[in-house]
Amino acid sequence: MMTDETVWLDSAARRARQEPWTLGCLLSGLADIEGTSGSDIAAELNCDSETVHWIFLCRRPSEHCFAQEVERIAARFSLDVKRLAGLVRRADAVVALAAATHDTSESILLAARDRQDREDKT
Amino acid sequence: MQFPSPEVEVTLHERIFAADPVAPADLFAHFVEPLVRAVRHDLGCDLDSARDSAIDALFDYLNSPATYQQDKGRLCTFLVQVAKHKAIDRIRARSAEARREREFGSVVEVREPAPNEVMERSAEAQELWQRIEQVVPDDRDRLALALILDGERSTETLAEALGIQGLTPLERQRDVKRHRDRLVKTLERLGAKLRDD
Repeated sequence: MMTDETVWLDSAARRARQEPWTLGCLLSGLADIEGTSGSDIAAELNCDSETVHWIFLCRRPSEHCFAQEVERIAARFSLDVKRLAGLVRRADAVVALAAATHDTSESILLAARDRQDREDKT
Repeated sequence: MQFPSPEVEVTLHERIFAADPVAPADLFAHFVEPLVRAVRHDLGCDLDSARDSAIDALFDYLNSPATYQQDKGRLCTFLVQVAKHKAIDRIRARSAEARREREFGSVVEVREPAPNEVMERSAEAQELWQRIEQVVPDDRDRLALALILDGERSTETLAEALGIQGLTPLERQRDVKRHRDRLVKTLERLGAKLRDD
């Protein structure tokens, strides 16, 4: 049954995906690329989907305090710190790689179009 | 659920400023429900609008926590104000959309204003709205006024905004008209004052 809290938590977690500083944005970005869902994240973290919504509202761990901040999130939501750290590291890497690939492919396309334009003119 | 104590608010604000990774989740846990209740109580809007407005207000604050100045009042007061503005914007947008659908359903093309025109209008509207906030202190009155300014004519919509309930249709119509006349008079007085200024 949907309680008031589960309804607003679901809405807030969805909204968190739009904010680049949230774990929600990072982890949903990974899920989009890998074609997985919130329940897959829950399974990987060995927690329920409500806990996934809560961690979506957390700030993503910073590079300079990564271990400490992952530990803090894991402790707050009774998660396995190694699993969470592994998931966040993978998300960081995959999302960054996808962004770089996207940028590169766009640059390649632009260069190809420029070249095509020049050839058309000559 | 009540708003947290001032001490809890201060600690939360400090944690958010310090980029504590768990602080945003704790902020939501403490504030969403009391914010939704406050918005519904003050504006009488529906649950979905109140909930979405509360969530938007919290994200606004998390994106720029410095907009809250501790020396000017409690965090809960600040967040209620932001959430109410969001709710009013939402209701106005919905009302305007419904009106456009009614009035322009058959119109094929509506001219899009130029971007600079939109910005100028937006700045003027914000300035004017601040003046209105000074002369119309009641939230329900302001919401009703916003709807009237948007061209809303429906008695039901205005009654909902004004929190008028439990009357016969005729009584409701009269009551809405009385409030509408009063608000329009206030607006006219403000208009005259602005012209004089």
